[in-house]
Amino acid sequence: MILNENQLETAHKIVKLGLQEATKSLEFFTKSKTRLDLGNDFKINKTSEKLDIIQKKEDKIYLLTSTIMGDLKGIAYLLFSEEEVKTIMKSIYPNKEFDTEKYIKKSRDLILEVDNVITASVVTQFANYFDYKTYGGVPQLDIVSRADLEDIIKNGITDNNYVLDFKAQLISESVNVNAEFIWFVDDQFIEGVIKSSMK
Amino acid sequence: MGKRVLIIDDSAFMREFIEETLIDAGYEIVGKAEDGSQGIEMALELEPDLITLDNVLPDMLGVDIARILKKEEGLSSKIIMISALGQVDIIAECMANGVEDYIVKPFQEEDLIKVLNKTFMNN
Repeated sequence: MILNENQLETAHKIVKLGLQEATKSLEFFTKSKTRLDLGNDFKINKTSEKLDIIQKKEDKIYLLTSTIMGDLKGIAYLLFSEEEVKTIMKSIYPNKEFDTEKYIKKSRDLILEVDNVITASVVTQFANYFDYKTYGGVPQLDIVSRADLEDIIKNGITDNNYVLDFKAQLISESVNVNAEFIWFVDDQFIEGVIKSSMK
Repeated sequence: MGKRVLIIDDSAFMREFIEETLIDAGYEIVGKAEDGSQGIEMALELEPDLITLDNVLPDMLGVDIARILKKEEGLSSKIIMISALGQVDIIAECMANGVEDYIVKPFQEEDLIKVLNKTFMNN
């Protein structure tokens, strides 16, 4: 066990606070009351252990990647299915018809910004709790097949000894999607959690 | 003629949102840049009244852009940072490098206008 129950609860609490902050940003997009509920299935494992964490089964996955830089280093992945991206788009542009090219561009721009605010909100909580200077980089979007996903995600393991794996349900009037988070982080994360849990 | 604004943000979504908000409020958008080096080049060439600046860009940090423009180049343009990063020490570092005000995402259209209007009223 990497963290004891108290430490794991601290990590869960920090991520939950980050997602609550992100909710405010998401309301900015959806223009309606929005929730981002962190599930109880919150795990922290060593990356050296068998990696079998991706739950999304759809053929086409929107994979958002942000580098975490500063005192805490890592790679943050956020996964949506194509259907989920369509649902988010529809809720934000309910009455707009786009031609295919514009729709693709708009959906890419939107989902990148959604990732940007969610990742930044969680990273900001880590920075505040751990007293670190750390921030998330510019997000990148890749639309990948389920078959390729595991190999791509495994690239995030380099120099990062731990993997945080959690889901969050994004709910508003017109949206109900399950965002899947896979974050690879270095040893500083565990040190930060242990320090914070003693406060 | 409204005040002239340059938008520096890697997010197309945010560039569009800021542009629409500021045009509606009577500002003139003189340029949009999606990375730091393009932003510095445009800022020095256009000398806008105000720059809205993202703090995390693909090639550099907004705080370094502010330092270059204000401290090294002596540009008179006001700089408003707009970022999802809300850590106190990051905000303080930006303010120490010539940033007039710092808006943490999320924000509403009226928050942005209020900050811009306040910036020009104070100067």
